[in-house]
Amino acid sequence: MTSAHKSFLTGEVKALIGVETEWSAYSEPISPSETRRFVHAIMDDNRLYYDEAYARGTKYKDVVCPPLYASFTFRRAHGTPDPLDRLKTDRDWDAYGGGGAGRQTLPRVPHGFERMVNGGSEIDLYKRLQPGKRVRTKVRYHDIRERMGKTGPMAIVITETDFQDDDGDIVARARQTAIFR
Amino acid sequence: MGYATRRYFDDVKVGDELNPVEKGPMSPAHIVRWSASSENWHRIHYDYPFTTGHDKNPGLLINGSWKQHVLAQMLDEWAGLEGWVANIAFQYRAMNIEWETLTAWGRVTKIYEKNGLGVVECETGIRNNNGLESTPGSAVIILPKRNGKAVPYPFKSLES
Repeated sequence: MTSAHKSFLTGEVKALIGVETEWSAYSEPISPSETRRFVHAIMDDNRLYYDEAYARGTKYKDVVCPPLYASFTFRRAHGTPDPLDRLKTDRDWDAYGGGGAGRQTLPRVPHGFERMVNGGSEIDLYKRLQPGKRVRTKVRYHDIRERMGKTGPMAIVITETDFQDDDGDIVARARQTAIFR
Repeated sequence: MGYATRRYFDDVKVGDELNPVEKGPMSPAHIVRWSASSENWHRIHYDYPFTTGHDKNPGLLINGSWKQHVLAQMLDEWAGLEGWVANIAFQYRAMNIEWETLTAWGRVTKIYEKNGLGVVECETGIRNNNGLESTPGSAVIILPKRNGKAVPYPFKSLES
């Protein structure tokens, strides 16, 4: 392609930086059983996750969830359509997203690219979640940039998600970079 | 594991290695246990004909979402109960598949003090049993100084 590259980074796109959603609904309260299964799966037998007497003697005062637990608190609600129904008619579907937990969506960035690559994650941590707590989220566009790669222009879209517990504390703030080309 | 030691900023040097955390070999059962726990039904993690045939992957992929917790465990155990892992960053650059053993590692790259607390910056990664690095990253850990103030909890930010 020899034609001059036309930037997607218009005023309309730049105006999306900082745009954020409302707070989501709260998750279900974190159940001890859910935490136990999670801890079994990550094979981390830290006593802080189950030994109440031990945890009481720490700054947490009670058992806690593992550090990066916040983004795993959203589950598909009772009575919602089953995403896996799609496999009845589409056996080639990879079932990505088939857990079906609803996450908030931001307005689409009109960049015109089709291929998306995960450009990495960064998480600021402030507080541990604990069984019984509920979590809600707010998502925003942290930054939208253009970069020239080996194969042509790329759109770098960084979304930021706040995770807040029902004490009103931000427990974590995660930034996810998506690269479109 | 949990916390082996109480760690103070005064004892940390650039170049120090964090205690590595090893997991594996990761059987298909271990991989699907994570999928079930996190309710992630992406077939590349448990459907062998699909992941190798349809998606042309070399095997059942070990979830990136699982790998991040191995990094977090390593960092948290090194920080100890009085420390705080304030920031974790990573990229998924290579695939890991069934029967690999994965080791999270870290190394101190920079240390400085801010508002009476110790700040430790680290480079981190996950290496498999063939030496393949899949998950380059970095982390920031806050440690108390010996005879210094406690790291506040909940942690706010270093500016406060």
